[in-house]
Amino acid sequence: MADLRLDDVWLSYAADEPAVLRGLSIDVADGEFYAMVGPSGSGKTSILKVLGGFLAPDAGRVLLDGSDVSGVPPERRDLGIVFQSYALFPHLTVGENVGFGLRMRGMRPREQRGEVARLLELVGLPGLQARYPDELSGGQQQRVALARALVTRPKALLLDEPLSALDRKIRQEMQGELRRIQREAGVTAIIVTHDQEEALALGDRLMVLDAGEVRQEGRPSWVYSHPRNRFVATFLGSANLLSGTVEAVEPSRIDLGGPIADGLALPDDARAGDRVTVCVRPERWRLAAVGEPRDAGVTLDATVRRVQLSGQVGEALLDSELGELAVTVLSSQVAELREGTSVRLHARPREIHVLDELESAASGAATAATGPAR
Amino acid sequence: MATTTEAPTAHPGADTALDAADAPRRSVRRRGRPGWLAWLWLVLGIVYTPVAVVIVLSFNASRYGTLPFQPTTQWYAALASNDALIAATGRSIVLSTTVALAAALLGTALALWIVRVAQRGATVFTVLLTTAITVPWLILAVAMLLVANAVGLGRGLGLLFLGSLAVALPYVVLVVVARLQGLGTELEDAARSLGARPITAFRLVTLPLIAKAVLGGTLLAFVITFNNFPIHFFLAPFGYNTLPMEIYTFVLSGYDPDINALATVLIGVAVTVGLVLLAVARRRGGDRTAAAGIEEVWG
Amino acid sequence: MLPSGLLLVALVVAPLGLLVYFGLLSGPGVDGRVTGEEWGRIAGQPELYGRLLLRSLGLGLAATALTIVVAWPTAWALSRHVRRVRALYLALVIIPHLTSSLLLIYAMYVLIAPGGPLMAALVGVGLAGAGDSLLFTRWAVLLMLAYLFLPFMVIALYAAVERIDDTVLDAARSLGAGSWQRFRHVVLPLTAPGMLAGLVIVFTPAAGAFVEAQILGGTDGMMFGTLISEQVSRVNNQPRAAAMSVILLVSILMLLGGLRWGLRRAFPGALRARR
Repeated sequence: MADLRLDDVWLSYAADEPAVLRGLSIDVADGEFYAMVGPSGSGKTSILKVLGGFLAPDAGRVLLDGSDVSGVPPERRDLGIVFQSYALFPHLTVGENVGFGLRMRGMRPREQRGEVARLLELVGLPGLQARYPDELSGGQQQRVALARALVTRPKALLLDEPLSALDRKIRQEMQGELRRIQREAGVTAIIVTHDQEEALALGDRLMVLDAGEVRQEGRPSWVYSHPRNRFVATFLGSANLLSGTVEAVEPSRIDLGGPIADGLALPDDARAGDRVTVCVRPERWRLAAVGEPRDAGVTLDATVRRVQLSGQVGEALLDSELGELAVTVLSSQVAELREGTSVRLHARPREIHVLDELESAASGAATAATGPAR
Repeated sequence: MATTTEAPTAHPGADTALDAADAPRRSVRRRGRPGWLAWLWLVLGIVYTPVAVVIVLSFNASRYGTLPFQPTTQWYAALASNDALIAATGRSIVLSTTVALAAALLGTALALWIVRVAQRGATVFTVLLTTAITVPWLILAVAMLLVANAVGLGRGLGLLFLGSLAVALPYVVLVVVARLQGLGTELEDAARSLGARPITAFRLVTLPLIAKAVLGGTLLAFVITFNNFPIHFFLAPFGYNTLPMEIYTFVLSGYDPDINALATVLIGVAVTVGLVLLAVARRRGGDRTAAAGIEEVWG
Repeated sequence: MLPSGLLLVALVVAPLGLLVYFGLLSGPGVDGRVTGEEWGRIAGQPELYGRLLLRSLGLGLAATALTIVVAWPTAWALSRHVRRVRALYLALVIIPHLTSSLLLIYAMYVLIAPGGPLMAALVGVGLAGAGDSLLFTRWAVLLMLAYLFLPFMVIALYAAVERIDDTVLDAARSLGAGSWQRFRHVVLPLTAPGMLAGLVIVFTPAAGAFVEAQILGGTDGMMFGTLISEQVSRVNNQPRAAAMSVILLVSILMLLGGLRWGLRRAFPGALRARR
């Protein structure tokens, strides 16, 4: 077990192509579950390949337990990897698959037996040693791949989109299992995924990656509620993004182009006249009766256009004076929200987050990292 | 722009599910390492050495293949007036073409029957076909000749045709069966749900889709028949020498510049046909099915 | 549909079955009585028939082994070290074999004849004496058989190598397998199906060959197949040819079965029957 660091890593696949990783630095603590999430093409898998030693970065260092392992080949890095396709050896039984790492370290089959059994127990597949991978379900293969990666007590566990090939139900079950197994094994783990739910559910820490750069890093719940820019806000869950102009800083008052947002916490460097983006998560809206007095925060009038139920909660799309808004509604509310119903929406100041990224009045140019056009 | 509402990113797994189906995965390609490429060239060198020697000697004046090299085209002139070789080439082409066409017709029919009709009998037939492919041609030829002798027919054109057909047929069947199995019946079912009668659905949907496999099988049948010396040697009527038989009699008498010229011409034809087919297959993206067919036959 | 199936039965299965019967007749034609005398004669000359049978099987095995050794790295190089021109390389390996095996045998004859290019080169570098020749030896036959069947083995192994998923190799690496271990424990077993297929399509025709030996082998390289062919075309002892064919076929199938069993034992997981 160990801590893992990338230090200013640059990577490109060909000299004439743009870099895939652009000065990337991450620092994963011992025993931590670190989740990297980003859209496809953001460089997630490349990071794992660099960590695993399959790709050599053009510049920067890979540090394992404080020592530079940049020149160490994959077979001597002592990392457990779970591949997206599982990459189980089709010609070996489950027992032989799990014992493979031990065998490579010179251990005889008889000596492996105990460890193999222990790991299969850990992943919840006791007694399946004699089966072949193609006789197992997708979820079971996933567990075997985990056991195989953990059997050598690696310094860290790398998971490349490990759940993407599974059905929704099994995926949710495996998320809990992954956490349990990682805790029980006490191993540092890095998971790469494009599934924001997975990243939010699994990570002790979350990193949002885009175009080879870190967009934001932090506790999942914090990153979710305090996105720094449009990209993070829309990539993690859905968001209502309202553009406005700062009218006053203390106490804050933002003109949303008609309606007013007041009492919000502004970024430190915000000045009067700056253009800002206000983010309200759909579940943070409160539905109020029409005519209810406005309060601090944002209050808007809107009419229901469409309601979609997906289980206990659903999403309502509303037309407001600021355009289309998404609001999370409870299944019990759906009956009242017919098309054309007028409602008043309210969000209190602490339910609203102003993105760090702002457009200064003076320069008119973006000062914070610009979110990608989406 | 006042508000933006963004749905969560496209359903997770949507694109990766496709990736997963796309077997087998290749990691970032290492560049062709010089050692491996050198090996490839070495193997090609070995494969083409005997061929190259014959080609070079076909332009050498010496009747006994001795040096120094004196360029000439006289052997091509000799070849052009070698009636026996030309007649034999003609016979081989006629035989191979008729056998290939018959094998294509019967083989496709048999393949359809195996895949679509004979559910349980299919295994029996596959075993039968693989056996037919694995028995050495010498033994097959001897067995067929002895049966013909026993029933008092003896060697003959009919026997030559049937023997060649029996050897070539299984290859066509296996290639087409592989394609049909890869195809499934869904497309034809879809056509029928749109109102096509079974025969129309077959003609408009299945037939075009297996056409390439049938063509591949036909070419394979042609090459096999053209090449099948044992069958020719034992079943052809006396005096009806195919090209391999003609070459055989020449070769038994030793070095012959006429054969050098003939070999050069035939290799030229093979290279041209081979490369043209390759180009066509590439243009049509048929690489995969061709590979699948070959694998089905040989794997 | 069914007629073509019946045709196969009539032309392949029935004649092969009848060979057993023909072999029991008294010669020279196939209209004699059942005596089984030819079997006795064959058994009475083990130094001829036994030796040639062993040589045929041995040459078949050696040719198969040789093609595997040459074709394996070729298939790997094609699959992993060539990108766009792969089909072209594959075609180049196959193309000479589209002409006629007899032409290739002839070309080999010219190449290895005494005083021919190969021998001249070998003499030149001091590997052979002036009068030496490969021609009319069993080595010439071995070379010829390996040359003829190389493309089949390349195709069979290429198909198997191409199916190997690179991430499986990456997985082996991450578990500590060095390049030799990856080859030994992952790549080689995963190509076992290709080797098995190659074994069947190379060993059978190689062990059953006859023209190659007749033209290139001389007495030293004579094969069992040559003898069968001569029983039909020169000696005209058809029952003996039938009996010998049965012996050759059964030997080939038995040896093939043994080799298949051995391969399955060596690579149990890779060659197990799938569900």
